[in-house]
Amino acid sequence: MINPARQLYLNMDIDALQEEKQAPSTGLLAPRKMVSNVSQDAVDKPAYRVAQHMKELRKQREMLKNGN
Amino acid sequence: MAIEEQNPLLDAPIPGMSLTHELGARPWQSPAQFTTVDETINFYMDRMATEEYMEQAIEVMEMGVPVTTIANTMQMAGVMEGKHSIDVGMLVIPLIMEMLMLIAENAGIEYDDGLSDDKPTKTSDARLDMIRREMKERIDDVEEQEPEVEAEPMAEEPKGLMARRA
Repeated sequence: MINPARQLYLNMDIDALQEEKQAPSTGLLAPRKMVSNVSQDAVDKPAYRVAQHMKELRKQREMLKNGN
Repeated sequence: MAIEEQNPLLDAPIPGMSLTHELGARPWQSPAQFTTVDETINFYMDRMATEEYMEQAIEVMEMGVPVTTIANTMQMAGVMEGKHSIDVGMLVIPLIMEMLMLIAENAGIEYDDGLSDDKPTKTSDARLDMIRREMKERIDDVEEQEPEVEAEPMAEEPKGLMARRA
C-alpha cells in the first residue's frame, strides 16, 4: 500500500509562507492590518490555509522544544 | 512515495469487489459530510483535541508506529466514513501529522515521524518492551495449560487372512 503522507508533508514548504504583516497601531481608529501583502488567490487556496494552520502548530512545537 | 512493507501484496481487494453492493450503499459513494478543507480541519482538530484521543495516539506512537502511517490511516477512515472526499483528505494529511507530532512532543515521548528515508536500524525501547510482554504472556499461557493425558497404546489388530475377527 502506498502512503503519500511523507511526500505531502515534505511538499508543504511552510517556511517560505508569507505572513500578513501587522501594522503598528497606536490610536483607537488606527487600522489593525496593512493592506494584505498576500494575494487573494493564495488566500483562497485550500493548501495555503492548511499551511497557515501547520505553521501555528509548528510554532507551538518549537515553543515546547525551547521550553517556553 | 513511501511503500509500507508491513502489508502483504496479496492483501488487496479482488477485482469486482467494489460491485458487490448497490451503488450508493457505501458512505464514500454518497456526498461527503464536510465539503471544504476548513470544515474538515475543524473536524479533525476537535477530534484530536480530546483527552481520549490523545491517550490512544500517544500509546500508538510509543509502540513505534510512524506518524505518517497514523495520519494516512486517519484520513482513509474519514473517507470510508463519508466525512470528506479523498482529495480533501490528501490536503489535511500534513496538518494531522503536525498535530500528532505536537501531541507526542507535549507528552514527552519518543516517536517516529516517518519522514526519514532510512529504514530503522534500531528497535525502540517501547517496542522491545511490548514484545517482551507479549512473549511473557504466551509463556504464562503455555504453563497454565494442563499436560495432555497420554493415550493408551491400542492393541494391534491381527492382519492375516486367517486371523480371528472381533
